[in-house]
Amino acid sequence: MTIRSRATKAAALYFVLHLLNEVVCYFMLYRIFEDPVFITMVALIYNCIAFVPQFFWGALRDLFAKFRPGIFSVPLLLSGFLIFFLGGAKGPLFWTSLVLLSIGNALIHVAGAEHTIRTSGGALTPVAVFVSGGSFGVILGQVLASTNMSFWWIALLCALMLPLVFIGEALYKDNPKESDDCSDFNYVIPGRKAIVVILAVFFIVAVRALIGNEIPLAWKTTLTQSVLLYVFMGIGKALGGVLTDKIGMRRTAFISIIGALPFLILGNKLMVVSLIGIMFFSMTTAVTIGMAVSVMKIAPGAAFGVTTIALFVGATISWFTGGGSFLTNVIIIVITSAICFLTSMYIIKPEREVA
Amino acid sequence: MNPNMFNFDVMGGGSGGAAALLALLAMLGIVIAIVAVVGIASTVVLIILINKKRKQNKEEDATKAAAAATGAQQTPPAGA
Repeated sequence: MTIRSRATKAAALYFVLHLLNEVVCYFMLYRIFEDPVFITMVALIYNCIAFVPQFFWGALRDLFAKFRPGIFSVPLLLSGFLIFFLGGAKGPLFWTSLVLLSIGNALIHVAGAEHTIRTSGGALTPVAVFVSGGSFGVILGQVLASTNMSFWWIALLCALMLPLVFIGEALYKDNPKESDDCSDFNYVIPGRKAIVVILAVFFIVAVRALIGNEIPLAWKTTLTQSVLLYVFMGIGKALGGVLTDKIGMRRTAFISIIGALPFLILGNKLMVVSLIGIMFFSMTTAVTIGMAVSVMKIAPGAAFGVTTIALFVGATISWFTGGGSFLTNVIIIVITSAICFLTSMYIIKPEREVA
Repeated sequence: MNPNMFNFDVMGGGSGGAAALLALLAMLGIVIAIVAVVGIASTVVLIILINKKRKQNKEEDATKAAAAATGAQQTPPAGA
């Protein structure tokens, strides 16, 4: 099997796994009918356990190649899901189900990141496609939760993830060393200190997560429009990887950070314009993953975890800020985008120097 | 998940609001604890990984050097 063939299959497989994972998680989360304070606490705990420890699970997998987070993830997801729906809607059982679900979520993310990065031969399309699956799964889970669908159907979907995980393990077996060691991830200017790059990636991801909630979306008033929002986010995440591989990371960073601005600002009441901006904005995902892996070649799982911690930090801070006027939000978006762009230009190797 | 679900106005004043604030502070404390534990544990794992990789690289360099030396010994000098 060629590197490209394995990478394509891994991307498709983990796109589906990521989608199913988010359907399971958000179906359960959106069937929690409690007061807003309780929901906020649930969201905080869920996001914290699902996002932050991916750094640790990724590092663990980088250290122990025989640790297979994907195989552990499905039983955890399924047990958390079933505990909730079979009597765990309140009390200690509820928190147990939430913790199990969150850990299962974290592990499948790490499995997907590890396999799509290590099989890609330095390309970013596979990991970007894997990440994009989440956007589709999040909105699908929310929509399904709002229907009368029995939770058993979702439990069945969750169980179906297990054979897919085993297919992923079989696909990864015999992965060639030259791809597995991520030696072809060379997106960073030589000489840039790894710690500086990691902090820059953390900053860019956290800030983008923060300002993501400031994007003016006055046009979004119906469920269909919400679905379109997530669909375009997902397309953007995948496109970030595709464009990086086609036209280079610097150009992709320019489009996703600077190119998105006019569409985001002018699209407040214009859905089509805004969706284009959202799509461009989401392309940054692949850029930051590529930067992180380039300086953490021996620990791509941990590198992915850096971005997930930053996402959590940015998103959590955004809960306590925001609510500003349209002009304030625009100014914040413009200034932070400029800083993120200059930071990324300081880090990313110019196209002509990429082998 | 709607990030703007938190609304102090809903809680109102009085002991109900204070209890909710206390619960939220407790949650933030849990979050900070998780971040700290993950940070420490991950640092330990990464240090072990970096040392393991350094050791592997040294062994590979030594193996290559030995192979190069053996090859040099077995290759007859030019003109012999």
